[in-house]
Amino acid sequence: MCKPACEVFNLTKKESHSTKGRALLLWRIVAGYSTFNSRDAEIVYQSTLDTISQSWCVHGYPVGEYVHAARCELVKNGTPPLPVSYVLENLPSPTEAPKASTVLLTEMSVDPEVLNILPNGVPEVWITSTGRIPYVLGDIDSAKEIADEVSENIRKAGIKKLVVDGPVGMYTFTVLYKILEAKLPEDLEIIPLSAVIEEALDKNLISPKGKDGRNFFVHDSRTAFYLAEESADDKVLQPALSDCDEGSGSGEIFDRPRRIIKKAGFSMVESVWSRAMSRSSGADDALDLTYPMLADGLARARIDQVKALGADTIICESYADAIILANASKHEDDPEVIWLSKLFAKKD
Amino acid sequence: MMHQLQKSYLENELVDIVGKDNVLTEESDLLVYAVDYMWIPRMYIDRGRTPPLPDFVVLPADSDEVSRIVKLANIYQVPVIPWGGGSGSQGGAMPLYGGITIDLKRLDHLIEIDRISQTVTAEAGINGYDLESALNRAGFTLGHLPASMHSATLGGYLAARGSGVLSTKYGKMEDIVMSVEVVLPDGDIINTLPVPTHASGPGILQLFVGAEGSYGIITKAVSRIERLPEERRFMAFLFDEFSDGLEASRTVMLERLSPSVLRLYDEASTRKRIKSILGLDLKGFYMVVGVEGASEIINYQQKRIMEICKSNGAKELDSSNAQQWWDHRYNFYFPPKCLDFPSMFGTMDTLCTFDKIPSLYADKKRILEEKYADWSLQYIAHLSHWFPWGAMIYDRFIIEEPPQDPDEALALHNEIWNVAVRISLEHGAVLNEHHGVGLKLARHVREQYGPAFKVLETMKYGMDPHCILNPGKMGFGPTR
Repeated sequence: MCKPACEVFNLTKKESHSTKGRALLLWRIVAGYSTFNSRDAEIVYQSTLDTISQSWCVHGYPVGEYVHAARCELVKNGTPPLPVSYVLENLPSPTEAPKASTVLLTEMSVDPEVLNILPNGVPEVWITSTGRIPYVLGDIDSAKEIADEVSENIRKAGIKKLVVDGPVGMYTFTVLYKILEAKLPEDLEIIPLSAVIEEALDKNLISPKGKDGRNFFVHDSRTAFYLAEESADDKVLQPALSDCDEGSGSGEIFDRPRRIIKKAGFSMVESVWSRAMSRSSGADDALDLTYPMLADGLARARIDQVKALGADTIICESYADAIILANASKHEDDPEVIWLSKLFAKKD
Repeated sequence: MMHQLQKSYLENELVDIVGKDNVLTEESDLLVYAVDYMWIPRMYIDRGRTPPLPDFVVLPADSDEVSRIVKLANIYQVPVIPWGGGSGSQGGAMPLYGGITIDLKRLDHLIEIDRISQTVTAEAGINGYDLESALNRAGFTLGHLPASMHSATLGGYLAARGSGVLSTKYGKMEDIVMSVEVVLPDGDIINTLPVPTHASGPGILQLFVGAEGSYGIITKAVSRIERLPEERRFMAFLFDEFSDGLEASRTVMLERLSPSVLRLYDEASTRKRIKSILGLDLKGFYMVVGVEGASEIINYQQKRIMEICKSNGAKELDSSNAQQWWDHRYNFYFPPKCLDFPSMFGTMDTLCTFDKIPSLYADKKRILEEKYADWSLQYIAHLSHWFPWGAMIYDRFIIEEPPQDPDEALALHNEIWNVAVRISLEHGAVLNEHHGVGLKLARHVREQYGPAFKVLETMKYGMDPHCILNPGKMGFGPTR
């Protein structure tokens, strides 16, 4: 029943990539009739964690949790597929934190130019692994080890305010680290970069760059699903009803980037496939690291979907989403993809 | 049984047609193509058995590739089973004798919406929800909104002669379709006539619609579409007696008031399903009625329907209940609210003229509940698809604790179906209204048609002498 939502399935059309296909395989294993073979293992990872199907499901079946549990089982048995093993064997270690009270933390290097828009001076930038990648791939032990080290590095560096680069960072430090029981300092403030940007916009310290009259589409990271205050409701099952046009699911994680776009004076288009029902960019749940062709396929599908809505610019709060979608935006008439932070420049 | 060497040559040729990435051979990929929504293959998975698997699953990109695959199957004399969304409840897409399952979902293009004639042309593999969404955005609807819409494909709708929740107004799929492109059992591609109604000789459109892939593989269809209604309104009623609800509904239909929805739940359904899904604790026979269209027209329809229902003893319920039913109508089919394991269940929907409904409903309920009292069989029903001359009884049996042994479960399941089907046929009803025949009812098709079955048989073996297409279904034998 969740086929309209199921992302990799809609790309490949193979039933084994659907929620039903995975459920049949996993049932046989859970019931003890079968054990994982190499193709089963591939199928478990040739997917995001499929939280979009979880959002879609009327009664909230924890689809994402089942996929994750299967991954943990495969890692525990030492039998994840080769691309996953490669990623897990080559995890970068956490780096030392800069000694500063405010730090911008990212998992990948960002364009330093964007830091010029921040109102209270350029914070120290800290590029480090966080443990999120091994976690989504099912390697809980490595995830916990990294999370503990990152927490200790934060403590040692005396960091009081951690600015994270988007929903992925917010999820990592406010949700995942609790699951991993990583001991962050109690007085540590964690805020998304978008909150800093909104503050700067409200104080008239920054202004939007680029041409006027653009029609924006806000791409919500799939990771934002974990930060939603309310999940999608069953209205999304009704095809193309106008009251579903804004997508389903509520929370600041979805509202803030939209507020920023409105305050900057731009118009927006919406889609039922946004908010808690947002389609993946391909950068979710490490799919871009393990099965990059599928990830690129998802990115291209998202570009096509947004193009059909009539938007000429896609805004991503997540830096990883912006990178993969920008790479997929190849044709002249494809929407431009911009990371939220790069939309603005400091006012003189 | 194909020798492995022969299989590898066949695989080689299939790869030539559709590309390596679109030929599936590993069991992990094949398994899901052995399981639709029929209880038996799902029971097999539940109990640790493997249902019959195809030898290959192929995903062609267009009708030419479908044609080439079917021609190849004729050379190798292997079965071909078309697959759409896999949401059928009858085992129609089960690969009983192995062979090649053709997954049509890459044929998913919406080709044209013709606003002048109000038709849509689309490939058979398009997902039902995607098709309806695209039509809605253009201001139209297919008028076919089945519970399986999110999973089913246009081809699947046609293969099984599906009904949607609005079929009472807009018709079943065989009424909605205008013409189809079909790949015949020999691989030739044909088109039926451009309009469904004519006096140009026997109509062949309806040979393929409802044939579940046994006469040809539908690859494209032109269907009529409707404008989105100006308004859609609902009413809800509660009757004390089934006969009152039935009489009210019959009168509504005979006065040609054209309701979009007319759904009368029996007492057991009202108690079990309406309570579970909508949270309404009602004693009696719940009925939802919908009207849609131009406001002035539905004003009259609504007023007259209200008069008819009340004159038949209906208590009018808050219309927000009916709106709630409409807004959450798909919730009935999602776990954990849908009927599911460990129960054994089946939907025995049948169709007959108005005069036969009371005795058919009463006898089927009594006989099944008495005969299977040891299994605590529950019988629930509603009437949901109405015609100018009769109605469909959408009845289901549920056994909450069926046998665990798969062979015992299979035997009990088939026995119940034998009894249920024969009661329907004895009362002048048919095997099925909109789920099709598939594997589940294949053995009853000959019985249903009697001497007329030879018409179907002659056409089948005339077109498909080796029985390549979907063997073992529709009362036909294996590939030969």
